[in-house]
Amino acid sequence: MNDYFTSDAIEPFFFGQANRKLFGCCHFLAQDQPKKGMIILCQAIGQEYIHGHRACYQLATKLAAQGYAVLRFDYFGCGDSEGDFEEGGLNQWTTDILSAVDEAQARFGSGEVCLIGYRIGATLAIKAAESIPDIHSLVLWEPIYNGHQYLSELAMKHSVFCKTLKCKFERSPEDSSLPTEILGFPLRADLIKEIKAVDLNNINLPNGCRSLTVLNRQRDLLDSTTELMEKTSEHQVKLIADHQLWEEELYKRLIPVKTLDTIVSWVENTLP
Amino acid sequence: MKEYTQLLGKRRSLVGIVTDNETFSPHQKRKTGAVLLNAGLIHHIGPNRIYVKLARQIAALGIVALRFDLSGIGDSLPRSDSLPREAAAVEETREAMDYLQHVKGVDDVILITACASTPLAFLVAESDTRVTGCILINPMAPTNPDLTYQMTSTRYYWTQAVFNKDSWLKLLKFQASFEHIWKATCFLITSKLFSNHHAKPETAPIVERMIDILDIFKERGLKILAVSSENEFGIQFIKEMLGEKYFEIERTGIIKTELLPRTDHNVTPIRSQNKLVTLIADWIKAL
Repeated sequence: MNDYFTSDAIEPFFFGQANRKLFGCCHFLAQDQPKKGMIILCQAIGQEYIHGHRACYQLATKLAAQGYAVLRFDYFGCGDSEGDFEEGGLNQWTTDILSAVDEAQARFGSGEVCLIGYRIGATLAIKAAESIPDIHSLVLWEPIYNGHQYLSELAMKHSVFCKTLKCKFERSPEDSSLPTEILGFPLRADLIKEIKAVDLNNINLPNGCRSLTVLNRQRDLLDSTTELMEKTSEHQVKLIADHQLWEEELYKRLIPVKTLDTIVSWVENTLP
Repeated sequence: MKEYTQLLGKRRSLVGIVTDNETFSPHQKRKTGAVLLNAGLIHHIGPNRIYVKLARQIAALGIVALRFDLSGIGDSLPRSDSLPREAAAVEETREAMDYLQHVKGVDDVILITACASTPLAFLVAESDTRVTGCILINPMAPTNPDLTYQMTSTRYYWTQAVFNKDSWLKLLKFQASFEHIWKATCFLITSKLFSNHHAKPETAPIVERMIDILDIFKERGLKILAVSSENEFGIQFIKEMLGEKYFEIERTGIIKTELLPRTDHNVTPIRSQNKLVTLIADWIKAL
């Protein structure tokens, strides 16, 4: 049935275990086999996933145009993947990244892998990288460093939303400062616990794994478009004045082109 | 329940997800399919992933659901021809319906739209008799900015400012905009007094066309469910735009309207999402 149509520029599919299938979409050059390494895009969750979807699509397209084989995918209970959001969690989603790597290697052949993560996807990518023998590099786009702070920010956004709508801010039994749902997505006690445990300050990247951290700041707060904050031979941090996708209104958001170009250019220089 | 990807269109460039219930035998399955159209620029999971919930609920009724991205939106590739956007969207929706007909054996289709895709559902239904029902979630259509402004300011003055102490103080200190208050009041009175009050759609040709298409809906007995969030224009907007023709249709009983209390344009609170899914499932069951 699925052979009704085929396409060679993008290839959407489901993969993974039965009843826990994940949605994936491969991007590669239409006329050619990918000549360079493999890239897995690890997206955000909840509203941040929806806000960032188009930008991740564009990033995948740009990387594919440079000859990389790119796999975008949705975590279990997110996007098009099977399950409901409340069935997911950070541990499950980290395992999903490993499944995506396996899937990409099965499709494109074994080889070095670069993980690009956006928001919580970046945090999950770091966790997953420890278990990937072929990890080559990581791009961390606005990673969540501190779980407590992240939850507070989300709770604040939800609180503003409730005030605007004049609806009740229903408090989580796990932590009364947090709601039971955040902007349309349920916040289970288990997920709260997992997110609270996030602390990237004490994490070391796998040996030999190169990294780029991209931080976006409001465009009008910076004169220069790109500022290199820290540079070592292996780990770079770039501050880019660009659209903060996760902060912008859903119908008014724009693609952060400078950020995408910076990532593509770094990957090109790093991953053969 | 089975979900799988499907590339659609002549160029196989449109990404769709089919949700099908395999527990139904072919003779138990209804010959009806549902196509969920992009809510504005949001990809085929819909706002707050509501399209995923809807598709699964619809499939549970034995109706195959297809949610897909129009070209240039979400996961679908952009078109390479110069077909105008509106015509392309109609063609692509019909291609999605072709898939349901030829591969899934569907005879008739319910189109589900949210927000800005309302006119698309009308245009497809006009030209394709396979469409037997339309579900419009927070219906919108391109309109003259005056109407949008009038509706926004009327709602603000008569649902918020009127209960706000500071607004009354501003009024008493002559700091309020009397012109705006006057216009909003006139708009409110006109809408309430004259049920066939009709905003001028001449700046939005698509709306004139939608008014004409309503005649076709009437002739074919095509059913419509319009669901509007309490804090949205939604149904009021459609009434204003379509004027007397809307009320003509309403009298025939082919349109049913529902209000979702305490929710926003994207139906964000989970309680509202569940209510929306139930409303739609019940309406489909009753078809």
